[in-house]
Formats: sequence, C-alpha cells, structure tokens
Amino acid sequence: MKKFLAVTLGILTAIGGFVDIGDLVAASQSGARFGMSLAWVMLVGVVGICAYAEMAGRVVAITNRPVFDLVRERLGPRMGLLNLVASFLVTLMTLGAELGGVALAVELATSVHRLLWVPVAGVVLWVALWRVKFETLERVFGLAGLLLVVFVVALFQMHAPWPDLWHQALSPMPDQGENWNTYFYFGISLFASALTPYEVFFFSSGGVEEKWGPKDLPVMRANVFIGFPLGGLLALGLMAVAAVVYHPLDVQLNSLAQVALPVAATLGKLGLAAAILAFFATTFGAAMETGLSSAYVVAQYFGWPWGKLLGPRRAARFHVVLMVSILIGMAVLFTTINPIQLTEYMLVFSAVVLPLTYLPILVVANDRQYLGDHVNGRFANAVGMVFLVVVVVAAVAAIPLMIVTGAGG
Amino acid sequence: MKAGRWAGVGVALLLIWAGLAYCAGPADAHEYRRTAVQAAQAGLNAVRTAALAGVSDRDGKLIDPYLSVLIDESAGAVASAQNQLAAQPPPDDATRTLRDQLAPLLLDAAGAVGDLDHATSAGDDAGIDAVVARLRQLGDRLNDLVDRYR
Amino acid sequence: MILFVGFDLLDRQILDRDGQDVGKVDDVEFTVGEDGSPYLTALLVGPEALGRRLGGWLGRVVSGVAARLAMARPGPIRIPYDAVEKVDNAVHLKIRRELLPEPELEAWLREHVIARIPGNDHEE
Repeated sequence: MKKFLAVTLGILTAIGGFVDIGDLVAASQSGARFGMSLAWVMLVGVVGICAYAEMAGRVVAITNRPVFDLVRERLGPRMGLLNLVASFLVTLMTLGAELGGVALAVELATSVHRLLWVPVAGVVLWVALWRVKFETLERVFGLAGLLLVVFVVALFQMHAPWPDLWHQALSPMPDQGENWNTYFYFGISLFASALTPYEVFFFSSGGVEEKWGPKDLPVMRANVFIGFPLGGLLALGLMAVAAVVYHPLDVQLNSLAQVALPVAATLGKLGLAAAILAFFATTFGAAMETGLSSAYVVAQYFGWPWGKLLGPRRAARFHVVLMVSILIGMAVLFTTINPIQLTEYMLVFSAVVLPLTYLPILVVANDRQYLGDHVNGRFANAVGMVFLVVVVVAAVAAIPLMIVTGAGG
Repeated sequence: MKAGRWAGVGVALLLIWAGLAYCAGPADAHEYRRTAVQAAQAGLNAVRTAALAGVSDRDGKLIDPYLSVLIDESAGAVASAQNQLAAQPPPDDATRTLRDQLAPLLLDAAGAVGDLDHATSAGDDAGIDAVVARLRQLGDRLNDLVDRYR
Repeated sequence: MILFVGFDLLDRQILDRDGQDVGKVDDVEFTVGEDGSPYLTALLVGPEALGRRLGGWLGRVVSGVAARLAMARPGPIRIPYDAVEKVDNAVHLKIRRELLPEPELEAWLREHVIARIPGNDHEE
C-alpha cells in the first residue's frame, strides 16, 4: 500500500511538473491563434519526450551515470564542450523565463509590478536550493501544479463546443487569413515546449541521486508513460480554453493575465485563484529544475561532485555555478524584457539545440557496452530515429521561421 | 596575414552598418501597412480582452489586483500600438488613408480602457456595461480593418 | 588487462571508493619502461590537462584560467594508475577522495565564496 502511494505520488508530481512557462505560453498562444489545429503537435511532442525520457531513465538505471555525463565520453571533449555551451545557455534562458513567470504570477495576485518580484523570486529560489531541502519542495510544487486542471473544469463549465474543437484538431492546417509559415512557427514552439532540454538533464540526474537500479525501471516507466501524457493533457486544456474563448474573437495572447481570464469568467474568483496558484507552482517548480539543470550540465561535463543533496561545502563549484546561473537569469529579466517574449525566444532557441540534447541519448541507449541487454529494442529505435529527424527539421527551420514571421507577429 | 584579418573585420563592420542603415531607413508602403496592421491587431487584442474583463468584473468574478493588471496591460498595449503607428509617417496616399482610419480607433480605445478603469473602480455596473459595449464596437471595427488590410 | 585508452579511459568519470565523484579522466600519463615500450602510469585530472587535450585557442583559454588559479601546486591532479580498482562505465578507485589533492578551484571557491555566505554547512 505504501509503495502504491509512493508511486502514485511520483506520477502526480510528474503530471504537475510537466507544464512550465513554455507550455503555458505556447499552448495558449497556439489555441488563440489556430484553435485546436495544432493539437497534434502536442501529441507528437509528448510521444517524443516519453520515448527519450524512458531511454535516459534506462541509461541511468543501468549505468548509474546521468545522460549528460556520457555525452563527453561518447562524443569527445570538443563536441561535449559545444554541447555544454549550447545546453547551458538555453537552460539559462529557460531559467530566466521561469523566474519571469513566477514574477508574473505573483503580480497577478498582488498587482505589484513584476520587476519588483524578480529579486524576491531569485533569492527565494536560491535559498531553497542552498539549504538543500529539495524533495519536499518538489512534491509540493509538483502537486500544486495539478491545479491546472481548473482549465479542464472551466472547459466543461463553459459548455465548450466539443464537436468543433474535435473538428479543428482533425484539420491540421492554418485557417483563413493565416499562412503556413506562422502555423509551423507556432508548431515548432509548441514542440519545443514539450521537449525542453532541461527536463531530460533533470530527470536523469535525479535518477542518479535516487540510485535507480534495474528494479526501478517499472516505476520510472510508469512516471514517464502515465505522468507525461497526462501533463500534456493539461497543456491541451490550456490550448482548448484559448481556442474556445479567444480564437473566435481573433484575439492574440501575449500575457499570463489573458490566459487566466476565461477561467475567471467561467468559475469566478475561486477558479482564478486556482489558476494563479497553478501558474506560480508550475513556474517556480520549473525554476528550481532549470536552476539545478544548468549547474548539473556544467558539473557533469567537468566531472565535479554535483547534486541537489550535496551541501555547499561538499560541492562548492556546483553551488557557485547555481548561484551565478540564478544571477544571470535575474539579470536578463532586469533588462525589462517581457517574460512572455523571453519565453518565445527561449522556445525557438531550445528548438535549435534539441538535436544536441537528443542525439547523444539515442547513441548511448544503443551502446551495449553501457546497457548490456537493456539496449534499445527495434521499436524504441524506430521511434527514436523518427523523432531525431523531426527534431533536426525543427531545429533547422526554427530561426528562419522566426525571422520570416517576425516571431509570429 | 594580420592585414587580411583586419580587412575581414572591416568588411564585416561595413556590412553590419549597411544593414542597420537599410533597416533604419524610411518605411515603404508595404512595411508601413504591415506595421499598421500589427498595431491594429494589438489594439484589437486589448479592447476585446478589456471587454471580457469588464463583463467578468461586473459579474463579480475577478479579484482587484488581477483586474488592475489586466487593465494596465490593455492600456499599455493600446499606447504601444499608438506609438507604433506614429513612429513612421505614411509614405503614400493609400497608407495615409489607413492611418486616418486607424489612429482615431486607437485613440477611442485608449479612452475606453481608461473609462473602464473608472467604472470598475467605482463599481458602477451600468457604466461598465456602457464601456463594454463601446469596447465591443471598437473591437468589431478594428477587426474589420485588420481583415481588410492584412 | 587490455584497455583502449581512447575508448575505455579518456573522458570517463572517476569515482572514489565510496562512489563519490572525483573528476574526469582529462588526460593520461605514459612512461617509457625499461624495454622501451610505453605503459600507462597515471590519470591526470584538471582543467590544465583538459585544456591541453582540447587544443586550439579554446584549450589555451581553459588551461590559462586553470594556471592562473594554481597557487600551491602547479599542474593537474595526478592519480597513479595503481590506485585504480576497476574500469567499467566509470573508473573506480581503491582510495577515498580525501586522500587526493583537492582541486584548486573547489578549494578557492569554498574559502572565498561559500564560506562567506551563512548557512553553508547544512547538508541533507
């Protein structure tokens, strides 16, 4: 019974932890702009993250080494360094975007300007990670993220036109007055929001610290194959709400306040409070994960002791990188860039960096020397290869599309 | 070899300067139209969001801090749209007509959002309804403009 | 035991007797034996060693930063190959990492940055 509860808790935390500021922005904006016609991208993205997270988790369980650790071994120190720089910079950008999301969420509840919350969010984040009380925080924020279900509730309460939504989802094309460039630009952002690199770094590093072994594979798979798709469903809920309320009005979303408005209009103050709390929980949880991930990748490349369970005196370099990452994240926000815009750029650059993150995982997951009999089967490889192609296409098209569409303007 | 490297740097700088000069030049009709449509869309986003907010507030569904953030954002969006439109003078007659249609709409939008702020602060339900009606009307006209000139 | 240095050893994680991270095999040291053939004598750990292997201006930057920090002891940390217990997907040492010299950067940061911030001696 206790084991069942632990597993359920793990899955619930995974569901709530799936969504971050990237999903909040990409899913809502896609819904407002294109209705449900980009829903398939969310589906594809979820399948992709499930496949690769399972591979990464399997690598961790068998070798007890996190995935990024093995990048340098397999690709060599030069390619590894390139990978490190790209991954670190993108994860740093993501950290900035998440902190911005936290500041925005608190602004919605207090009307105090978001820039004033940025230092507060940064300091609180740093203290939480400095004092190393991670597991409780992860649980609390992961479960609070489940409050996003309020969007699904709102959908039912507003008597969403399900046949219309379904019909939109089945016609994957831009509607009248929109062009394919913008459609694919939003599609790539949505795809990147499901597959952001830090998720894999964090997932595999966590597995090492929890000392996963082969017998933990079933639980790991449950977390991945149940948790992530249900998390994707929450993101689809966000898309659907925007599709029902904003799409018919031809209104484009560019603020978190707009995202929550339909929930308020349908469910009143309680629904609004739940939505704001959900925004806070998902972004703060993601800020913790991205902060740690940025330090993980640097430490794992150089071989330093690392870990969210290691105190500062035992892992000085790791904690200093963590501190510097949070400072840089805050500095980016102090340029007064709109966090939503920062998130949009972050998604594009994540898309560009995706092949660097996922190719090594596929390579390592096929290496008998590391995994013995647990190497990828034919199915895993088929899915992995297909996704690699998709990821490369997305990476190549991302920046040109951003330029051509003026970042979706 | 050193001279070659400096020459390369010089050419790169020249290209960057030329690029910036090109971007900073006066807008041609196509660019102006695109900018104007963006400004109109931004105005549309703001007024329709504000209308939704007004209705929800009248129905007692919003908390005050949240409403004030929404209204501030709408007002800010309309102001940037106005700035965006005013940044460049229209290069030809067609675009001048476009500006003459859009600018008053954005001006009205700014006024309406301000009035919404008053009405919601005062808790004046009838006032809110009136402003929401204006916002909706403005939304329809902005939408027409966007559709026509996209 | 036959090891292919390039595949099995270089860039692999080094763990001590307790499974704690020590560093990566940034480089290796060969010595020429009495019969004239080279054999592996030590693992080299540290940014100086890594910088040398990276080569080019990038490597020089990495080594340069490291050299600037090296106060007490110049050069990378040298782990004699005798201290290696086994090599599987990591290099496992027979000794605890406390017996090895501490990396310069770690020590410097701990003294000058971490120690100055309150609450740094907590651990889960």
